[in-house]
Amino acid sequence: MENNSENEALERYLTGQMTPEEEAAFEVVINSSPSLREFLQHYEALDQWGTEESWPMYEVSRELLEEKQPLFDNPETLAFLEKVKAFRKDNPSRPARIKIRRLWFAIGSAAAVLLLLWAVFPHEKSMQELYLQHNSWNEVPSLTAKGDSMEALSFSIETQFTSRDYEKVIATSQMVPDSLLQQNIPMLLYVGISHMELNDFDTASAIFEHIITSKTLDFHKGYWYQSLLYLKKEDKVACREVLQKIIMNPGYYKYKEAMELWKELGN
Amino acid sequence: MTSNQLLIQAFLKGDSEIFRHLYGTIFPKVARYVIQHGGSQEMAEDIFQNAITVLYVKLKNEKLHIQSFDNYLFIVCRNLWRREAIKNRVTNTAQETLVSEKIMNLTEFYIEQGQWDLFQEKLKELSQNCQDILKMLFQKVSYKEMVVHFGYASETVVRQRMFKCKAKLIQLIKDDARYVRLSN
Repeated sequence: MENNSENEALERYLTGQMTPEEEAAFEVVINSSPSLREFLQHYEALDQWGTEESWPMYEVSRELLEEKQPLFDNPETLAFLEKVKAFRKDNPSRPARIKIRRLWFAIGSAAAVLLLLWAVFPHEKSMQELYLQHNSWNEVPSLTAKGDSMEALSFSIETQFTSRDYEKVIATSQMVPDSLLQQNIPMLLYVGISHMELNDFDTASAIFEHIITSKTLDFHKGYWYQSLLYLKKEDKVACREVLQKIIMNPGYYKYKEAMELWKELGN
Repeated sequence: MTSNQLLIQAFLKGDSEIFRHLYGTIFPKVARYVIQHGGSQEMAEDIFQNAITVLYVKLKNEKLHIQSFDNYLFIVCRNLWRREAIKNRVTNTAQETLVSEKIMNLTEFYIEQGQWDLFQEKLKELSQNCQDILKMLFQKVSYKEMVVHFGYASETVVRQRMFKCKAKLIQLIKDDARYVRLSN
């Protein structure tokens, strides 16, 4: 932008403060001004950099391409690429999955042995044992699956959560504007569970309560996690009270599990 | 040396354990993202390999300040997919050939990713208010909601503030030496 009056005109143009006649006249000015056109190009590109669905189509100059091309053509890069390709060739079924399958097999075998032992030697489970039985967080909805525009933050939170790095989950969630976080039930679940795992029961309880009163479709998920919170706190009365709300509504999240937990809690 | 730096060092050496880690932890998330956005497992594998190559070139040739190697790799994959998906939409290229190495110009993407890095870096230099307002814009929060959130008098005030923040950001980007080298 070359001068203040141009700047003011641009602001009025881009903030919808011009009359249609003024707009038409200003567009003639834009067409004849390379600096204004460049500014508008960048103004639009910023939205594209920031949003999830788009990507600005820059026309990269041939000179710049020719300058950077050797970075990809050099022997070191090509040798690195060969290593990646060799790894993929040697691990065609994606190593993590093989590893996970083996892990599941091991877990399955161990679980079968444990079940057998428990069937032979029945005993009443403590509240902590019940909590550990139910605190598998695999069923918490994926954040990156939402496809929203907070993909990077969501990804961080989900990765940290999977690694059980609950302090980091809380720290990362603080980068999300509060007004957005309050509306994002899946993300709130991750944050609430993290507080619960760190034994910050007051904050966790406030988050689950917020979910319950959120008037969203997922509000009832808050009951299940609130019940787990009381389980962890070993507050049987409160836990049963919350479970009762789920049991009264078969459509609520974790209805069957709530029934089982109710029975397991005994009197 | 932090674990992130150790990871980068091993990555640059082409350590197969690092590839095992990346393919085991980051690739499944990339595959899920690509498939959810209209791609296939095979496309995700190509995107991942190309992103790894771009990241290698960046780490070898630039002073890249990344807080988390894993997160940054995911972002590069996501940007690469976004770019290819948009390009495909614009040029109507058959999607099967979308990520083939023959047509993918990694150098071009490398330059664009540099612009994206610059955009992110300069965004953090803005005032907190500007950062918040722009993040809300990118997250498609309505002007009406922004009026309530920031306590502004009207939507016009939000638009004016938005204009000033974006103009400031453009200026910051243009004032950076890397912009001059990257722009056309």
